[in-house]
Amino acid sequence: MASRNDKYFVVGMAVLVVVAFVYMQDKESLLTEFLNTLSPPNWDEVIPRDIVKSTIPVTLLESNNGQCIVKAELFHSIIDHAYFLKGEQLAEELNFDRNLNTLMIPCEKLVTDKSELTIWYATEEAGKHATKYQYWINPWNNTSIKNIYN
Amino acid sequence: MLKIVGIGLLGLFALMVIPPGVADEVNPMFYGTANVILADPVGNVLMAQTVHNLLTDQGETFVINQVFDTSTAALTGQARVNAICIYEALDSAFSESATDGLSNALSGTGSSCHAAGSGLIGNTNQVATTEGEIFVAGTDFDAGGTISGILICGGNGAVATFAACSTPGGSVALAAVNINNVTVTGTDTITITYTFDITTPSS
Repeated sequence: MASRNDKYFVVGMAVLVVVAFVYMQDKESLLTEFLNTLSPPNWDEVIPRDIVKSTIPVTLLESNNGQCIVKAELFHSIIDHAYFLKGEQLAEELNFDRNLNTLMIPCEKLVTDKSELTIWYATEEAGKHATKYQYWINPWNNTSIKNIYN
Repeated sequence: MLKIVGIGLLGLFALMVIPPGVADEVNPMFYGTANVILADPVGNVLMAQTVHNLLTDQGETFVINQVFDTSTAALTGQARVNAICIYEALDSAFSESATDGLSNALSGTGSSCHAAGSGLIGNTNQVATTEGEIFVAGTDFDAGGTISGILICGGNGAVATFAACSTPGGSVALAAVNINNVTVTGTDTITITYTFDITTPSS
């Protein structure tokens, strides 16, 4: 049986949480910091200096049950960069085979046999989005890649 | 049970009001980025990268002296920051303490440094961009060489290509860029463009 004091304590705490929720919405706190680690990166909130961008070609080798194995010759060069603190995490996500330089990607993400794998990651100094990464797979376009990186 | 719920709410309240330990990102002044394209002999891109640089202590002193020090002779024309040099060295070498004297393990008798063409191709809105410099395996360095970083150099005068940032003398390494280890085989090329940005958020 809960005592009256316990009830007052819970009600009081609930009121404090509601008040904090209303008045702290625009403020940074440990809670928002924690929730931020779970959200995807918002690249508009990261200055260009703190974003490392890389693009490599990936070529389809074989498909099996909706999973495609692609050759990604220079993927290791991207994930091993000293600034990419979560490189190994991405390698695991894409089932990177270091001996064969292959990745395993859902076939639905591949439109053509040769595609571009673009990886962006935020460096350690990037404030609230530090160390986050994101990748995209698009049809290969040699000219557009040259234009973007030139 | 109610006591546990109350303590949980107290914890949640604390998380909501205690500020985080990490400060918000501060927009830095004076930064540069290098765009790097590795391509095969017919121009197929093998890898493309954009990586920010570290302005070296030597480079910061150079900028301060050139802008403020009345006892330092101002550099003119092609003696300004206008060269891009490729290096093979440890990751840690591409740090703020890098200088024009950085040891280069890249083998070959070619030119590790290229003057950036006619210098700046863009100087708008406080952003300077150099011409893309193309280094060719088997010509500028031995085929199979590994490029791990870039130095942006100056003070070298009117020379088109040269062996190292420190030559022919009076040189300075403004910035260092770590591009990890990129092995360039056959007659593959690596093209480097450097952008220097001093835009302020309010400008």
